[in-house]
Amino acid sequence: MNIAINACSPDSRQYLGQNVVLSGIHKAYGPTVALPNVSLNVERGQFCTLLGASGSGKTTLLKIIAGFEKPDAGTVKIAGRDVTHTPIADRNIGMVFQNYALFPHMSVFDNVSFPLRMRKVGSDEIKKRVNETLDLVSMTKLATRLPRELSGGQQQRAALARALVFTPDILLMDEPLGALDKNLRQTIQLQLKKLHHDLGLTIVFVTHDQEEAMHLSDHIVILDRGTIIQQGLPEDLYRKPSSEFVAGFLGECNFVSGGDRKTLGVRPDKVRLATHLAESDIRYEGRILMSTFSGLHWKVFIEYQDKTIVAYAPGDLSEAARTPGAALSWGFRRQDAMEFAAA
Amino acid sequence: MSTAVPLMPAPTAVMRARRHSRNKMAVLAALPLIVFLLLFFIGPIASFLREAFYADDQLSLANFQHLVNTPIYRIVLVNTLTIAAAVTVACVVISYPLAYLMATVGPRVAQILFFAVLLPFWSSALVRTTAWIALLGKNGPLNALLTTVGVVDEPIAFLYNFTGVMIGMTHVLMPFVVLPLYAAFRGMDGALTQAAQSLGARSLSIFRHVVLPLTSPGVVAGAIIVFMNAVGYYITPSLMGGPAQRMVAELISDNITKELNWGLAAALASVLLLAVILSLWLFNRLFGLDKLISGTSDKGSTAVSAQRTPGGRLSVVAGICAAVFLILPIIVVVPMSFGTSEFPIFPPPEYGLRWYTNFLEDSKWVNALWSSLKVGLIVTVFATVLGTTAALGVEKMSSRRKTWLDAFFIVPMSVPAILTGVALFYLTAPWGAVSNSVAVVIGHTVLAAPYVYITIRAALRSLDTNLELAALGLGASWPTMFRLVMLPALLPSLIGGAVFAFVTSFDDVVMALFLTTVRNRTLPKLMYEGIAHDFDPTVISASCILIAATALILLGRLAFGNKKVSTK
Amino acid sequence: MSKKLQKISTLLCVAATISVGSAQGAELNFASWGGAYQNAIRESWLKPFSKETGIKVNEDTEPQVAKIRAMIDTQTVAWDVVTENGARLAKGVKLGVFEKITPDMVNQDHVIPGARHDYGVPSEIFSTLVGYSLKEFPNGKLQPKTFADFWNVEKFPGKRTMQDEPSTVIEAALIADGVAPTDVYKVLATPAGVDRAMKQIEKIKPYVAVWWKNGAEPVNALASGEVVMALGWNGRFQAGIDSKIPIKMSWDNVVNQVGYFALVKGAPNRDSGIKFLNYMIQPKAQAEFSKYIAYGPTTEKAIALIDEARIERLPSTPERLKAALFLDSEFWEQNGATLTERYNQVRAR
Repeated sequence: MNIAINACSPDSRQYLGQNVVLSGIHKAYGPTVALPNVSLNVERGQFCTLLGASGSGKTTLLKIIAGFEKPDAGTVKIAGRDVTHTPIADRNIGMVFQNYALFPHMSVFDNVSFPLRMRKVGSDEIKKRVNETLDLVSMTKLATRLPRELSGGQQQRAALARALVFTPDILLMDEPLGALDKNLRQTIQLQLKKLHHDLGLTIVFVTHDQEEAMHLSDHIVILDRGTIIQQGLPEDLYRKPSSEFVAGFLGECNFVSGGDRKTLGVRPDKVRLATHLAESDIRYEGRILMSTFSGLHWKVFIEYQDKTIVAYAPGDLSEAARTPGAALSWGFRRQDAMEFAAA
Repeated sequence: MSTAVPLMPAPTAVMRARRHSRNKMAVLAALPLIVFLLLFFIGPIASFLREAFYADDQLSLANFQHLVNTPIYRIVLVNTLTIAAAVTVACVVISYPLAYLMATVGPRVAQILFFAVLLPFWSSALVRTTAWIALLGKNGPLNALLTTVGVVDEPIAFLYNFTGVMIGMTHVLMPFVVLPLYAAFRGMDGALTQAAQSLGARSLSIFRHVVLPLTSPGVVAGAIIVFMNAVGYYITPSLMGGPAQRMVAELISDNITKELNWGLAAALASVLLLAVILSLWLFNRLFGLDKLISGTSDKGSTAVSAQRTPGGRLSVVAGICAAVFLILPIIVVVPMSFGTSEFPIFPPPEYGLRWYTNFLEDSKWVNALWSSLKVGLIVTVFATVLGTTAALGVEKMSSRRKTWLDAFFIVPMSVPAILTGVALFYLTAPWGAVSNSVAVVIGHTVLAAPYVYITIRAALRSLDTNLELAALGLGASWPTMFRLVMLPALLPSLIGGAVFAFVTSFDDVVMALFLTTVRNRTLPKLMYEGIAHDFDPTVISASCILIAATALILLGRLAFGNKKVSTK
Repeated sequence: MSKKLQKISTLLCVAATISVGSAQGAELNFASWGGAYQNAIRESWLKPFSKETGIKVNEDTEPQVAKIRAMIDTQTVAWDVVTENGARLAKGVKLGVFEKITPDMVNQDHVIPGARHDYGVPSEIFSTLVGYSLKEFPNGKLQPKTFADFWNVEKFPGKRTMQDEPSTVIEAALIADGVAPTDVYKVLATPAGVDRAMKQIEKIKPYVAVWWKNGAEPVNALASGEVVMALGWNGRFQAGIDSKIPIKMSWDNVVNQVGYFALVKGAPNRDSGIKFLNYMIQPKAQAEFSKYIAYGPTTEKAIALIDEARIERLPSTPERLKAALFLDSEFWEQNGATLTERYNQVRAR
């Protein structure tokens, strides 16, 4: 499947998207408070991912931006306009649903042209814009098909096209790639990233898959129980997590006690084994549980003090160094460890 | 060197043999109902319709010529089709908000709404007509309300005109649309309305572009049932309408019973039947008859939108009004039954148990009740067995046969009961079948079996065939598999179909008028006599007893684990 | 029904062993039209007859001539004596469902000549006339008396009710238009006359709130205020007056009908039937009937047995009988179908 090459004029990077400012959002369902007090800034053209486990409030927040839920307190501003009480149909946001929500009785073309028809766009203009958008997502040949005649990936792209065709201020995506297999997911992720770059969209993306979040985002917002724990660039969050929770959430992380009410966190790729340990490294003794091959490296699972430590070892690791049951030294450079206050 | 010996017959031969025997079983299963309908429906009616082509014992088209030449018949036919169409439209329009409401509220409220829909549905049409007449009179409570509040200066004539017939017939036929439409709403993906909103659609657009197309199978299924029923109606129109609302079935009845002009009656009946078959054909061309069997779309429902659009809110109000419309006469009838005056007034000036006492003391009422119950139970058994076996058989058949058999089994529903009744009378009276209730049982079974058939067919469609295959693959014989796997899954629909059959029998007036004698007359016949010739207030008390019984059955069904609310 | 089917039915009948219950002990199967009429018959005739003779009486309703014909065709006659009006009696005779009643079966010497019929014993005379609401037209003010008054919507405004069937209505329409009662059937014999009657119906149509189908309806409609005037049966009006409903009726214009009791051909209890017919035609029985419903006896001898006060309520006073138009049942038997079609057509738009 080819990613459409979009030729856009070199000196004008169009910013299709607008900024979103959430202030003091409070939302409760009966006795349960989903969002106690959330404020968030999404800049123009930013790919912002709301990342969290289920129940973290990320979908609720997305729905509030979309207008499907009204906050009990707080405001939503898009491009400086207060839209907190604006009806959904007037917010000019594009939404891609988890199960795509394509109109089953309409062809791809009709689905994608729907928002333009709602805006009373002329039929020639509609044809032009729909074809352009379908082109963007490589769905032109499938324009006459019905949703049930499409594969998962094709439905996904149709839903995307429908959400983009009317140049929304923001594009919201609610775990849209969850139903796809890994290869397809990656391909669409790339395509999404390209679209984002070419069109300058503002995207607010909800997922629980941290790998996906890091892959796609300019800005990650980590939510836990309705509160923003940390937000920032993926590299920053990965390398300098503010808490054990964030460290453990984004990427894999090993935790050991650092003494004096401190916890040390080490990424598996920073764990050194046996002969690779240097004198100055912090060192522990453990026992190999098992090792699995994952293409790029060996994953070695080490038993240490009732914990399981995960280490990535280079692909040419010797057999002996990964035999289950064998004792193994492991450790890391002091500067590779991240320090947290003990939870 | 070995001679190749076939160890077993080629696989295709086995498969063919198995398919052949399965087809044979399927045909055998459907046979009882086919034979029953041929003997007791097609045969007698064909015989009766033959009369249309005879005048003075000679083959001629005189009857049809008379129909063409005399203006009244043309007028009445046009009136009939117009009224049937108008009632169909009214039913659809009013059912939409109600079905939407039922599909989008919490389970407990939904149950209350179901109660409001099913209770009048299962109450006698005569009862409801009496209640409406008491409510809608010139000096009745509705007009009193309107004039006191000042909405109008003069009381409005709601009765004995087009309005009266519309109210009466819509009220009786609405549930036929509400139920399949509800199923269609439930089958709709809840995220679609949200998606449409996010794409800029307002309430009206959402309805036009999303809701309407996706619920149309349900609507169309209901509409065709309403139309076919409405075209054959005459009791409600004759009680609540005027001469301009005279329906064809009344003329057929008059020509049979009063004028004794069988030829003309048969000619009229032929035309009516033609109109019905044409609509069925049109329906099949446009939508496919299988929509009638299961009017739901394929997707399962997901979580419903937490917020309603403004259109949605308006629909909720309309839906509540529709529910009130349905339940109002039933509620009104109850206090009326405790009135002591000689004719129906609401609210009653005096209260007492006079007419209840009369019901229990006058043996003719209790006997009639007993007769109705007896007949009803027997009919339920026959109709359920015949309808279910036929549905099971047809399910396994090729699609061409399926369509034909579907149409064949549905036609009895659309032929006016009066034709079937008269034709059956002539067939069965010589055996004494009228006086020992065999005739009325046969007649009611002809009426009721199609409903059971449709219900079970729909249920079989939504049954997971994998369950059947899994059980058979695990070594179960077909009867065992049926008993342990299919029957439990079909049970709710079986019960639904059986109840439907019982109610159809219990409520029938027209056939009872022909197929019973004074000794075994059913309750509706007695009630009709109580309304048609003179007003016997015992009718209202009898109605309330029936309503109470119906309510009890309904509450019982709702209480005993109706987790998945039954759909048609 | 087709002869072939009948043959098959008979064969099946032979094969089947279901037996029709036949009467054990003396019984009488009687069918009439329900309501106050049948109540009156029950109280004044059926019950005393049963008491006197020990014969058990079973009642049924709706003795449509078609049904009787069907019963005879299928040899399942369930009724012995039925009541019919003139037109239905004539139709029944044409279809051969009634037995001729000879003088040695029932002695009808004392019956009013105008009411006699070979195939029926006349049971009562009842009148179609104008009934009206006293609330709308109180005593001391202008009150409608004639059929012409009924048709005069300016002088007597308000909604009316008339019968859904044309018999008696057509006659009243012509009388209202100025035709003398004695000329009514002459006029109706011509197409122009029928047109004239139908024009009258057109005229009154917008003012008719309801076209009644059963005899109690006009009274109920007057009582509930649905209408202010009704063209209905005197017996029902009288019953309403007796129940203190504020209505009144006028004897100025009257169309009389005779009700008949007929003997069904092939009646299972023929003897009981004949006995009953003899019973109800007796003057004393006839007089008794008027106690329960204000219909007039068909024998002059009964008049002597009825007190002054009650006579006033009946159609059978000599003056009233003289001024009345008697319905021509032969005419209706011949023309009923076409006139009904016209009548329905005129009102169907």
